Amino acid sequence: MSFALTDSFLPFQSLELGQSDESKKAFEVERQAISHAREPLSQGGWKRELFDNAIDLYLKCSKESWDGYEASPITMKALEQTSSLIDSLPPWAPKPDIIPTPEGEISMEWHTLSKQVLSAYPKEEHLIYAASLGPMNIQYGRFPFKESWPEEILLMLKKYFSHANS
Amino acid sequence: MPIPEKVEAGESISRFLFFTPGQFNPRTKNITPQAFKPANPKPPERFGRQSSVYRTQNLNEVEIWELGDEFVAKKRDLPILARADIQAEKIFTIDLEIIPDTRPHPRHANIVNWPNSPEARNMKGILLSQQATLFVNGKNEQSQ
Repeated sequence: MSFALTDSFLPFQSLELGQSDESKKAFEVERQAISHAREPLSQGGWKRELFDNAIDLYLKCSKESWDGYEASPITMKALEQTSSLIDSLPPWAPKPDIIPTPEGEISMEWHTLSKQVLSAYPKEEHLIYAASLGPMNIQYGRFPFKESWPEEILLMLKKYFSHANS
Repeated sequence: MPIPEKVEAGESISRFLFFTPGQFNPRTKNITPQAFKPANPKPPERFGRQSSVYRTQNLNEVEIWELGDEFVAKKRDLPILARADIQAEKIFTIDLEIIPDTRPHPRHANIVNWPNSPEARNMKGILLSQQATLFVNGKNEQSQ
């Protein structure tokens, strides 16, 4: 399922905000999808595809145990925080894979053919990250969540992952 | 052949996978760092973090998939798309433990001793995913 909507998808816009939490959540996802779809393509590129992937995951993983192992549902907050991180990826950055975590977050992950891996995701007020960059080089930690990428992660992307996920 | 009471370092451990892209990428054959990670604790049913696995030493391919179908997939009503196999020693090396939990099957076990901090759990998830080997379930390949 994709949410790369166009203006011709008018029935979607006539939805009214219901009273239940579920309908409020659904309305918010739809509102974001419509707003996203109206952005010019020139401002999207692969970021639009990533945002679509994040919404797809939110919808697919919104029920308990979506992974068969009692995973927590992906939250709206996780989707919002992930969206702002996608927005703030610099143009030179390699495209991440968008992966749901069993704890209810959305992780951005980069893999290289030589098995280097970086995984980063927002969790509450932090950006959690872990990276395996070589046999004796593993790094992990957290930064305060700021809707933009910490310099340390950007440096890691530049140095190790310029050909990731290709 | 009976399986030892305690998990031995040389044993093969299998984690059955149901979800792509969350647990593996069928195109690149990468296992994601999330594949082995446990769900959040959910008291009172589940106080700690544990990842359900099977001890598949001395089983052939057909027997492993049958074990998964009968004792893992059926209960969840989901098709098994793949499995990640890893040697027990690789799990012990990063300070995780494998505790036999013989329900619903004598070969069932749980990976436990996951750290409290999410960044450390993520790091262990990465290390396990790097050491494991992906086996795609040909029977359910069309579901991916």
